[in-house]
Amino acid sequence: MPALHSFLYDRWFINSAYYRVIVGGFAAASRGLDAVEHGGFDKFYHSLLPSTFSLASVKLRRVQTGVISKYLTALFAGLLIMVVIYVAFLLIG
Amino acid sequence: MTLTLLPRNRGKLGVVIGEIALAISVALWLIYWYPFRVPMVSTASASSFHSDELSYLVSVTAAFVGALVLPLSKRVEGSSWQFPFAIILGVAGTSALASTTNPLVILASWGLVSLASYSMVSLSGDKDSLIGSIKYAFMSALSFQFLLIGVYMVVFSPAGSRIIALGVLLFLVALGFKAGIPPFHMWLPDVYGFSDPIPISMLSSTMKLGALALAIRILAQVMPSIEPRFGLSLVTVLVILSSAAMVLGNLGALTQTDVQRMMAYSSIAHVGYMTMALSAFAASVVYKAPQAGYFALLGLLVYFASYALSKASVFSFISGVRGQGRASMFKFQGLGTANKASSASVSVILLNLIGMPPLLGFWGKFFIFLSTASPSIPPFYVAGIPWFTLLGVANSALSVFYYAKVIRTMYTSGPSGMSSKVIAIPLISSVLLAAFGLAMPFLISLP
Repeated sequence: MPALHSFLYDRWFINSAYYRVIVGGFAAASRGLDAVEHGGFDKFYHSLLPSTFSLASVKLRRVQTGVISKYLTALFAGLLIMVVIYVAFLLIG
Repeated sequence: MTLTLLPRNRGKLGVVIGEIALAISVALWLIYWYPFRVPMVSTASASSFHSDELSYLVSVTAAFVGALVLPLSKRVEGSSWQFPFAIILGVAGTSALASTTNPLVILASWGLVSLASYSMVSLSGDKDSLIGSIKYAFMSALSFQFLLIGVYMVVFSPAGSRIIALGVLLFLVALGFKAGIPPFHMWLPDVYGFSDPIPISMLSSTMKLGALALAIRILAQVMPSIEPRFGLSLVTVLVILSSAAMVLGNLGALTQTDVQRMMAYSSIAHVGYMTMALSAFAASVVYKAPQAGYFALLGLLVYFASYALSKASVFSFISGVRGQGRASMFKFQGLGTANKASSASVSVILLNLIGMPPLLGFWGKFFIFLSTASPSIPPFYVAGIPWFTLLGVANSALSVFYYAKVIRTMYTSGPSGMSSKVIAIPLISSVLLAAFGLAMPFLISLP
């Protein structure tokens, strides 16, 4: 009898079930999405992506030493790579 | 040698004679070009010279940009007569390169453009310009050997021979050097980035157009005659060169705080877009996709004009801002209020380099991307995705970061040492870029 009274008194637990499932569920989903947005998307777009490009840019510019012998090496290496690619695709084709 | 023998104190006379010569040149080319059909590239000609839209456009652009840069020659220290002479030599060489398939004319005009280019850089006489000139001359001499062998292979090998494709490959090395395509670009950031910006405004804008026009003429002549598998290998090499130029150019410019050096790297990226058009043009022959070829050629021609006007303007503007030192970003602060007209026109030009509609640069990129997005060319697609086009679009998006940084800096408050005197080149160029951009839908006839 006290259990039935308690059940009826608490309006069939609809209110608490609503708060636990619907409100609580949405709140948890919101926290989860917030974590994905801030920790995932924001971190990716505003931190990881810019820092990766910046790092790549800085590293790339270091190749530019001003030493002409290195430039000549790059020129011949480039020619060699071009010939290798050309022959490789010729063989595949 | 000829340049040093010329009198040094005939500055105004040199500019006047140069302007008259270039004005006559522009007028004659326009008269020949009328009624302005776009685009067309001829491969067969009774003489050594081809009179087609490719040669007309490159010649008009080179002469017009030369005429714009010429009045600045008084600011190139101690070179009042020599600089106009070097410009005229360079313009003549560029016109010849864009108009010929004769091996001797190619070699002579390539030499003429090279000689004019590094003498132009050295004329300023400062240490950076002299170092840049020597580096350029040294690398140029080496790349000329590749051109010599490449042209010899292309011209003197039997039609359809596999050695022709190898000749084109060696020609691409020479082109890569001249236009600044990685990994043959190493000289470019040093020369464009540190030398006097006035000669660079000519060098970066028009001096490479002849070589690129020659590339498309050689491809138009060679591609139909070689086996498809050789053609496909060449397309692959072109695609890799183009991708490398776009990515490395934009990445190099991204973190620059020196605007002149930033523009040097951006030149590499822009050559990447132009090489993209070359790839699409070559692939259109292999896969028999004439519409893609049409858009590639149209895009390239539009890009030539847009790029040449923009680069000449930006470097001439930089020369006014940087003074004797470097073109550091902070020197651009406050320009938006100190020199409103020049800053506004340079902003338009930077937006044009991004490819912002409705400016002319947008149409150039649009046609090039349209050509690479052709479904008739399977290598440009992976799993149904036009990867090559997307790479171009992504690179254009990446370039927004550094171009916008310059515009934003100009409109932030700060001390500006620049006078309010309007610089003519950016003003004229921005008006032309906007006018031709708006008129473009009415100028072209789609296939």
